[in-house]
Amino acid sequence: MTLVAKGDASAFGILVDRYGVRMRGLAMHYGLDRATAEDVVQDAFTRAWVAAGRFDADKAKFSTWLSRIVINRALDERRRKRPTALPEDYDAVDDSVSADDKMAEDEQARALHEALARLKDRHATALILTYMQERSNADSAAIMEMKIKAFESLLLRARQALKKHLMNNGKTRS
Amino acid sequence: MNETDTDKNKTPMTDTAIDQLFARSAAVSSSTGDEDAFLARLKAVPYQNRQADPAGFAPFQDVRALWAQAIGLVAALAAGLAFGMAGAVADDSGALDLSDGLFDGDMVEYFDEPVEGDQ
Repeated sequence: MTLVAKGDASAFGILVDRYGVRMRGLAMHYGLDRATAEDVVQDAFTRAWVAAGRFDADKAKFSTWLSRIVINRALDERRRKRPTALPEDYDAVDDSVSADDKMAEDEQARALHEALARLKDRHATALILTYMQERSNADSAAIMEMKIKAFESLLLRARQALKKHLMNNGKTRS
Repeated sequence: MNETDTDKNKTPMTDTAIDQLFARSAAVSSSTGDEDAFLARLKAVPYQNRQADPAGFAPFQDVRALWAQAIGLVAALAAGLAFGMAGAVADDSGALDLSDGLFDGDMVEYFDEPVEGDQ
């Protein structure tokens, strides 16, 4: 980021390689279609470029800072248009499963996605960061600007809320 | 396993149904082979935002530089105008005609000095 702050475009490219696709995945977990998610991530990287000189590495990691920008923008988009269905391009490429299994898995993924879309922003974010982005509690708490204990408590409530939504829709199965 | 009231007391992390859902969704790939185009688009950000180059992002300095240029231009115009007017006045009087013979006397004196070894 020091080099980026000095206007080094190649250093910026390294950050893009490292975080670009992951950030798009993060945005898509909020129910955005790919095109919107890519716009969100591009906007986040533009902000990162413009404000690089003001980035303080002592306060947060770059990925934490960038994730916050992406999440805030994704939530803006989500509020603008709450999705009711899984985006067409929100799908796995996995040839190892049969068509029936894939349909069942797609149905589960759709159920989870719809339940997440109905959760409060903070609940959805806690679940997405922890289980879909597989961030540590410490990282997730930093992104959400919370103490770890408070985050763990939030995560617990978020899981309970998600479970309630899934059960109401009859989508959970064991 | 059916959900029962006792499930409410379970630690959420052991709720296999939800964990499986997350495991499945976490594996969902947002990659469909178009990463290159997407990443190239992101890498173009610095070139599309050169005016916002973080190293030179100082809008107030830019304004000050513009003012300095403007003041310098006005000063140069004023000086040029004053010089032109002075020249016009001098031409009228003929007293300050510096265009001819300024160094003639000096040059003559220099070459009038005998050169050592001459002759």
